Amino acid sequence: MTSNVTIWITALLTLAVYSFLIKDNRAFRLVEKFFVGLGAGYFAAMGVRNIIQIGIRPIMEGQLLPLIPFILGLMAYTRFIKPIAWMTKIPIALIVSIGAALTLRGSVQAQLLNQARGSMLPWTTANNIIIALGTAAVLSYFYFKARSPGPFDGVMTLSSKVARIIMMVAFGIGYTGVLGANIPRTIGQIQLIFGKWIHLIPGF
Amino acid sequence: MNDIGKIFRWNRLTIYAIITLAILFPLVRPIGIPIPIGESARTFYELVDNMKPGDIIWVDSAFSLSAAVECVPQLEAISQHALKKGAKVIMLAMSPDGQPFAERALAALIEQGAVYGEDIVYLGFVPGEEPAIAAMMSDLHRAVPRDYRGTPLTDIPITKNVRTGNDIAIVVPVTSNATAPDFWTRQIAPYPNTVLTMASQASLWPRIQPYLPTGQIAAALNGARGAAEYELMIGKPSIAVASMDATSIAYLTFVLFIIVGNLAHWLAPDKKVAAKKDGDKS
Repeated sequence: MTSNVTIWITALLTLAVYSFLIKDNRAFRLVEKFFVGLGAGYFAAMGVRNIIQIGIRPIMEGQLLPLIPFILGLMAYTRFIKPIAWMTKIPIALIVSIGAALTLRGSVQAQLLNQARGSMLPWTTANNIIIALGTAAVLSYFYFKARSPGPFDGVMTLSSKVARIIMMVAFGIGYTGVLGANIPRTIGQIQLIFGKWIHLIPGF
Repeated sequence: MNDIGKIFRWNRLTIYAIITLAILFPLVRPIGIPIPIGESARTFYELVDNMKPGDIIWVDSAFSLSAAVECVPQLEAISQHALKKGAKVIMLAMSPDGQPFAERALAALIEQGAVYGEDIVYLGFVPGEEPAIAAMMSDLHRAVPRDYRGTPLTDIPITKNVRTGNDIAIVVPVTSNATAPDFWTRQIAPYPNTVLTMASQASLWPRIQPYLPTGQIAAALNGARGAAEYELMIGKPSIAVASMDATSIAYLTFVLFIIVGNLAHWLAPDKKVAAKKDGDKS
């Protein structure tokens, strides 16, 4: 077993988390609160450091421009003072409008034109055919109109069924990705406990 | 209830114990399952490998602590490869969690011989996500006037001539942010000479994939698997390669669980038990 105190603490905390699998217990609840507190403390410390580095320090050095976001940031807290609570709306409006403008800037090209161009493929391979027909089918699935008998009803019904299958496959892949992301984390913890802590795994 | 029906009585502890054993076995006795190199990882490698000495690569450490197992090997392998090719690395952290990993990678690279300011520079934590990217790409010196040590970018050899996105050859967000593929493609689109790549945790892969055929994301690394492929290509097999056997066996175990669970569900004579279990879970 290692003599490294950090690894001992990390391994014991990990075991305390896994002890929940047996049943809810005090050790698990303690570690749960510990992590929440640690996370909150870390982000608070980061916040203060950033305010000092990005806001206060340049102002102290004579730069006046950072004063504007600094004041806007303070205005966000006026919601706690009723008579001037309306001032909160100013920084929020600014953030929303800048965000929308920036999103629009590249959206048309990156997410509409380029992606549409990317789905217009020559029907030379099975992959290209699936992409082209799949895109068309899913788009048609979200085409809503008043129900009236028409010449394309049969095609639309068939395309909706195909679209549903395609979307189910896509959601399944997404879910597998989330599941798969947990495997490396579990491996990391197993390497910590059985490798770095008790040296059962060679190479640690 | 017959034997197959007993599967419904498995609790979480049993399932976790089986998964732990399945992962532990290949870690203790490596099997050596082959790792074929994927097309996207190969393209990524070739992009970095074709960089000319002095080209700028922008590496953003923007992942959370929970994604570190997958993203740290990616961050290290890409930076090492770029430095080996004589490229200049501008590192930054656009997520607060990414900072310690960027600082650790920076320290390791300096220990391996990279010269701070000449080969690599670290801008520190840059808050703001999409607006910050837009600001940095249009005028880096104005958006981030100093590096993490407080030195003005105009005084640092790597950064003094890097003003806009047009001066950057490759951008590599190493990220666990699900919206990153969308906002990065949006903000890199106005700079056609800048190549956008992405390295991410596996769960983001379906969000990145639609941008690969259109070339908006030129190449991407998919989680620990992508990191392992990259480590093999640069000839430095490390922690990601070591965990690949265990990853493959873990996936196989999940597949087996799904098959056995479905079989048990359909074959169990006492369907009420199965239905009750399903109801309990929901």
